[in-house]
Order: sequence, then structure tokens, then C-alpha cells
Amino acid sequence: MSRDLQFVFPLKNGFHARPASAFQELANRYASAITVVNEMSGATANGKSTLALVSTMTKEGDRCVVRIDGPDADRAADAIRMFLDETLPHCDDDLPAPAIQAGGRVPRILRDTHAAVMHGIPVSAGIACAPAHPVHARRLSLPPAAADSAGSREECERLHHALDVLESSYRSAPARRGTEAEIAKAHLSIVTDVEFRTELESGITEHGLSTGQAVIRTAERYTALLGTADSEYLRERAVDIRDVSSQIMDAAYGAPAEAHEAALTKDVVVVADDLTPSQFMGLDKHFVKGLALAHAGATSHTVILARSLGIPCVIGVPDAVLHLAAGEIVVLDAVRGIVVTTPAGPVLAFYQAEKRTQERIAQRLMVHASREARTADGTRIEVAANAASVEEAEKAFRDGAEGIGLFRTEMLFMDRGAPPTEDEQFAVYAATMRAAQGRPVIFRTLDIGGDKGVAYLGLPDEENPFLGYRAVRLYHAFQEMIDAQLRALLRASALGKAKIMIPMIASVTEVRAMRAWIDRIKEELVAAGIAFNPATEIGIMVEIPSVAFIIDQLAPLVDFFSIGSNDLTQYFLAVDRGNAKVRALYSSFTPSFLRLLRMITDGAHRHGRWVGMCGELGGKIPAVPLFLGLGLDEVSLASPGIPAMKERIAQFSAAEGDAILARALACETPEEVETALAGAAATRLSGKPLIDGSIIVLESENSAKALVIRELVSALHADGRTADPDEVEEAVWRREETFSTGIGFGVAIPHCKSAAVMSSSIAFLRPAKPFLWAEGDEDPVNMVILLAINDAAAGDEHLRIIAKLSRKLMHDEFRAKLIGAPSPSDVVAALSEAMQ
Amino acid sequence: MKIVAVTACPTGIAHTYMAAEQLAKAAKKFGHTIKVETQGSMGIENEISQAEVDAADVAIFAVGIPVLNKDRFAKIKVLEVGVQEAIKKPDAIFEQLGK
Repeated sequence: MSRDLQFVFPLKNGFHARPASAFQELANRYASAITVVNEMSGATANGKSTLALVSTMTKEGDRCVVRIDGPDADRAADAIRMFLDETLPHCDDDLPAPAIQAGGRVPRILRDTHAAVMHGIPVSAGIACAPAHPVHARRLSLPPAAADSAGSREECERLHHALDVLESSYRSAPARRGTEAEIAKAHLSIVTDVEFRTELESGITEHGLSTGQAVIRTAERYTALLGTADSEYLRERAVDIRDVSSQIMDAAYGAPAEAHEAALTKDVVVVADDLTPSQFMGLDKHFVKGLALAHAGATSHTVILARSLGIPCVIGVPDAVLHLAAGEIVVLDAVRGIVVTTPAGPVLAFYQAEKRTQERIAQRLMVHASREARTADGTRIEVAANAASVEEAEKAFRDGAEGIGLFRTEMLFMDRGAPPTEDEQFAVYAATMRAAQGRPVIFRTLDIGGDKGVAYLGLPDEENPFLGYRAVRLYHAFQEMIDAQLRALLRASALGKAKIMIPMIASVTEVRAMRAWIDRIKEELVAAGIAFNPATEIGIMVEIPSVAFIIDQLAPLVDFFSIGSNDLTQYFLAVDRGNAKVRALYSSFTPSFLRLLRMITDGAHRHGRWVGMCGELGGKIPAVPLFLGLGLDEVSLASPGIPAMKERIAQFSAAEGDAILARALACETPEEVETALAGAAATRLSGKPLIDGSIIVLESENSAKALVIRELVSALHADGRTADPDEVEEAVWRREETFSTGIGFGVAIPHCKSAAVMSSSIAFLRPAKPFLWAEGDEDPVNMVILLAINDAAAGDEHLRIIAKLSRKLMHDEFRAKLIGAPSPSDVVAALSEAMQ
Repeated sequence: MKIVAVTACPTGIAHTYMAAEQLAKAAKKFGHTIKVETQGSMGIENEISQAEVDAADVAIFAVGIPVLNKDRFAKIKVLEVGVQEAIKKPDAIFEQLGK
């Protein structure tokens, strides 16, 4: 019996190790011979060998045929057909897309110095300047004892023993979690690969080699094969072969001393293709100042660990980063998502200054972290964090989170071959409750499907995944899995204020069904004598617009509502924000959307229900007056933003929030809303005076226009007068390009009007060494005054004051006073007097 | 001499007012009377009327952008200079007027 199945290869990373090992696993369940032929290249592979499949170099769009020949060909063909249609297209779902190009805006100094910049995606903010420390798979070398009994039967035994040892160590890996288990599985498929084993054995039996020589020969063969692949991802997988080969070598001869990473003795930026969590944990984190990773997922465990430890990390960096020599100085800018190689002196100086600025900001904000979030007039609003792991939750509480407003449980379900057990889940939920120490934690039940696929669920491909089979809509089809999750969550409720939140609710019927489900689980727990909190709060996500219109019907059935602003916005405005052509239409500041939000919060409060917000809008600091106007009980955001969020909340009163929301609701466009918010921030901002001692620099070491401008802008940044110093700097330079702002008399007045300036400011600098502001100037400048004006401030009092100051600067005696002022407070006094 | 002047610059934050101040200072030094209108971030201030233009001997525009309500000056001799020039070398402007 034989069957042929045609298919077009669907994955953009090609037929790499992960889909190949999944295919091979299935093929090995059948007695039939299974061959994959790539019709474009003619390459043929044994379908039961991962390496053979990978070696076909099959690319996205290649036409292929699976030939099945044998007694169970029909059954095999049916299963493989299903695999090709339903599982294979999702094999790459959680891999980063190759060649990610991030925004591309870099600080001016990098452009000016033509610095070598690599772009990536910042996943853990911070800045590091240190020698590169490449971590890669070990090089294979022949142990001294390796050649003794080449070609003999003992060598065959040695090889088989080593393979067995390795296989059983990989097989025990499912006890590990997530990424680690996944890697072990990929490695297992190599060790058990028919072709790989045959290749190793024939090295000994046919070529008379020792085990070590055979391993090296086999590793070289496959890495060379993979190394010529068109797909960058495939080339990277050569690393897996080398990794497995060196482990076989260790199992055969014992691990050599240099197998262990040399201990770090000084600060480094670790550069690697990817770093397994165990590799990462093996490094002395005290010296790890940053991570630059070429192929790591934003949600990989290493990244989550780095974030929880506050180690700056950029992922998706081009492969060139792997060629950095050990000890070469690099700058890792995980604020903007760039890596600068061979940074010149000015670039290093820039980043040293940036680091000091970051430290000053952190210090300023830290006082807010430990405070309860309250408005200027004492109204309470809870500031909580979004988290997806215990580590992230722990970090969030250190950052000042007053609870976890959204714990994404789907992370536990991804990156693995089967759903987590109840106990596995309970361990994570319980650890989170312990970290919370009595603070509330809202666990969202599984939100999977749609764009977030999980291969083992075998979900079908959908034309419209966001409008399809996802979250609560698929629970009934996976009853055991959801039972286990609800049991684990209820058990965790015995340990503190755990709450359960259901995603993608659209109707009363769904809520009733979930309540009944949870009640059934509670009865089971009672019957089994297992502890839980019977009053555990049950809430729903508000992300489908229909919910906004039935709050009155839902309120009796739920304890709380949490607005998921991302999905709610895209469903409400019918805009897919992943679609570049319509992305511009997506804005959570759209006035109609704000009206919807008011309907939701008013409705919930009218019925005595708590309402929070956990979407991206909830992390937007300029939107604080809207939160207050809406009367949200809680906002939940990524934890690094928490201190700044608390600071901003303290700057507004609830009544001001009401007034600003009313104004926003009357706007016609999202841009008008944003302008209104910027204006509100400008007029209200902490009552920051136009000038104060913290934005005055005397005896500056900088004596070049570009450096001085940046120093002044950084002073504004450190003092919380702008959150986007790069944009303020650009705005100053745009003005500078119309004509230089040197006004003679040794004075320059660079200035800008920009929405990036939150609080209009006059910053002042005296260089230790006077310098020419522009080519052709006669007098060197000994005084630079930066006038940074908020865009929305037109016609306001600040401009009148600056006009007055400008006139005053034309007078010799006033300039002499500024030049001679012995301390920042004297400068403030002189300027303030002039502005009276 | 009776002089009317208008100052204006691209951002309108500072140069407009500095130039106005310089022109007023220099005019005094040369013994002229002057009225300076500023067209800056605060809008038009110290606005010059048609009657004031008609009564003046000469107008000075120290500007980096087009002057608003320019038709007021249709019948008067206008000396146009850069706003920077008015700030850095106001005296030179008045010396030129004397010629």
C-alpha cells in the first residue's frame, strides 16, 4: 500500500529542528517507510530522521510530497495529513520572526559619529557599557584518550553507552519547565535520530574511527550541511548539533575541565545566539551587566529572569553580534533597543552620562514606589502590575506594585508538548500568592487560540483568528485542562487574595456557564476536603464591546470588571493593529472609545462593581487624568512604569481628572485628545517652576555645542520635565538648522517648542571653557540658556515670562550678573528677578 | 526721526523680543523715537496703527518670517533686516538709516 501527500511548506524559518522533530515523532509511530521529497530542489529525506528532514533545506513556499509505503500507509497518511494541515503551520508560533528591524531612531550622537549600531528589541530596560562576553556552544575537540581502540567493538559499546546515558538524561527533562524542557526535547530528537546514529556507527565500523573521531566527523558533516542553508534560522541550528555532540563526548570520556564556563571576574555584556536558563543561571549575575541575544523569544525564561533581576536585555539583534570578540567594548542600550559596537569616545561619554541620568531618575521615582497611589486630593487608585511568571511578579512587588492586575496564565501552557498538570500550575500560582504577601492577584484563565497558538491543542487555522475560536470559547472542548486550571487557582485562593478572571466574555450565558463550572469545581474540592476560599472573587475581561451594553445584567453575576484596552479598541474600531495599512486608525484615545469606557465605568459603579484596566492604555502615563475622570479603581501595567505612574497620579486631583475627561470626550479626534492631555500635563505638572536649581549646570566639562545641548536636555529628563529626551534634542536641532541661536555677547539660547516637553523649562549652563557656538561666530559662548517650551503652552504665562527674560538678556548688567553668579541658587535668583 | 518697527522670528519665543529690545535701545541712543511691534509667540503685541505708520519717517522689519498685516506699510519706506542682525548689530541699522 502506498500513498502520496502533497503540501506547500508553510513556515518562514524553513524546515528547521522544531517542525522536523515533530514530523519525525509522528512518522516513527508507523511501520511504513515515510519519505519527504522537496520537489523544488529534488532533495529526499527519510521522514523518520530529524536531521535528514532538516538537511532538505526546505524553505517557505516549497512544494513537497510525503511518500508513504507500507502496511499501515492509510493510517499514517491520515495522521500526517492532519499534521501538515493543523500542527505544522503553528510550529513557529512563538519564535521571533527573523530579521526584526526595530524603529530605527537613534540618539543624535550616534548618527553624528557614524557609530556602528545594531537594532533589536528592548525587553528589559537599562544601559550597560562593558566588554563583550560571547557565550556559545563549546568547540569540539578530541580527548587525549580517544584514539586507543579505534574501530573496535569496545568503541561501539562506548558510543552506545554514551548515547544511552544522554537519551535518558533528556528523557528525564520533562520534569524541567518550559524552555528547558523544549530544548531537551529537540536535543533528544537528535540523539535518537536514525540517520545521526547510523552516521556515528558507520564512523566506527566502516571507517575504523574511535567514538570521539566519529562524533567529530558526524558533527562536522551536519553542521556544514546546515551552515550552507539559506535560512538564517537553519544555520543557527548547527549550534544544537554541536551542543549534542559535545555532550556525547562528555558522556563517553567524562567532562573536561574547560567544559564549564570560565567564572566571570569583571563586568561584561553577554552576547549569545540564545542562552538557556541554565546557562544564564550558571553565570555570576553580579558581573552580567547586560544581555544581547540574537534569537531569544521575548517571553523565553531567560528574558523573564533577566527582567526580574533588572538586567538590561535586547533580543532580535542581528547575527553579527555573535562575531564580537571577547573583551571588545560594547554599549547595550536596552532603553532604545540598540547595541553599539566599537563605540568612539564621545559615544561612551554620552552613555556614561545617560547612565547617570537613569540613576537620577530612578532615585527621584523610588520615593513613589513604596507609597500608596493617591491623587493630589487623596483619592485612592490602585496601581498594579501585569505579570506572566513568579519572577515577574516578585520584581513587580519590588517596583511598588499594589497587586497583580493581570497574571497571564497562558505562559504556563506555551513552549511545551502538553498542558501543565494541576500541581504544576498550583506550584506557580502558590508561589505568586506568597510573593504577593496578602496583596490581590488577578489570575486570568487561559487566553489561548486566535493569534496565540499552542501546537498540542491542535487548533485549526482560522481566517479571522481574533474573531474566532479562542479563550473562553474553546474551554468546553478542553474540559479536563480547564478543570485542572480552575482547581489549581481555587487551591491558590486559600493562600491570599487570589481572584479569577475570565477572558473574551461576550454574553451573560457565558458568565453563567463559567460560574456553574467554578461552582462544580468548588463542590469537588469540598468533597475532597481541599482548602480554598469559597468567596474567591470572579471577574471578567471587558474586551468585547457587547459587554459594555449589558453591564447591568452582568453585574449581579461578577465581582469585578477589568478593561482589556487593546482588544476592546480593535474590536470597537474594527481595526487590526497588526495591519500596517490601517494601524493609524487604531488609537485608544479615540473620543468614541473614551465614551465607551465611560459607559463601562459608570455602569459598573452604578451597580457597585469594581473596575480596573489592564491593557496597554493602562500603562500610558499621559492618560492619568482620564483614569481619574473615569474613576477607575485600578490600573495595571508593566512593572517598571509603576513608580512614574504613581508620581503622575499624585500630581492631579480627581476633580481635575473629571474636567479633563469631559474635555477629551468633547474632542473629535485622538490627536485632539492627546493635545488636551499634553496641555493638562503642562499646566498641571507638579507645579514645576520654569527654572530651578536642578536644571542649572555650572562649570560644565562639555565645551562643544552638541554635547552642551544634550547635557541640558538630559538635565530636563532627569528632573522629569520630559520623558523623551531624544525628541527634545531633535527639536532643538531642527530649530538650530533655521539659523544658529548664538545671539552674540557670549550667549546662546537654543530653544524648541515640542510636545515631548512636558513642563516648560529654562535650563542654564556655564561651560568651564568658553567655545564657539557656530562656525563664524566672533565671541565664544560662556553661557547657554535652553528654552524648552511645551507645544500646548502657546499664549500661556510661561511665554510671557520668557519674552521678558529675552529682552532682559540684551542688557549688559543682567548678563554680567548671570556670568558672575557663584552658585545655582544665585542663577535662579537672578533669572527669577528678571522675570518678575 | 520717527520710526516704526516690526520684529518676528520662526519660533517666536525669544529672538522677536530680543530684537525689539535692541531696536528700542539703539533708537534711544541715536535720538530717534520708535515704536516696535512684536509678532511672536504671544501674538501681535504693541500693535502699530495705520495712523502711526503714516506719521512715521521710516519702517524697520527685523524678521525671519513674513510680516503680518503688511499692507499697513504700503506707502512707507521699509528697511528689512534679519532678526539676528538687529540683535547683534543694532547700531549698524541706524547708521544705515542716516545715510
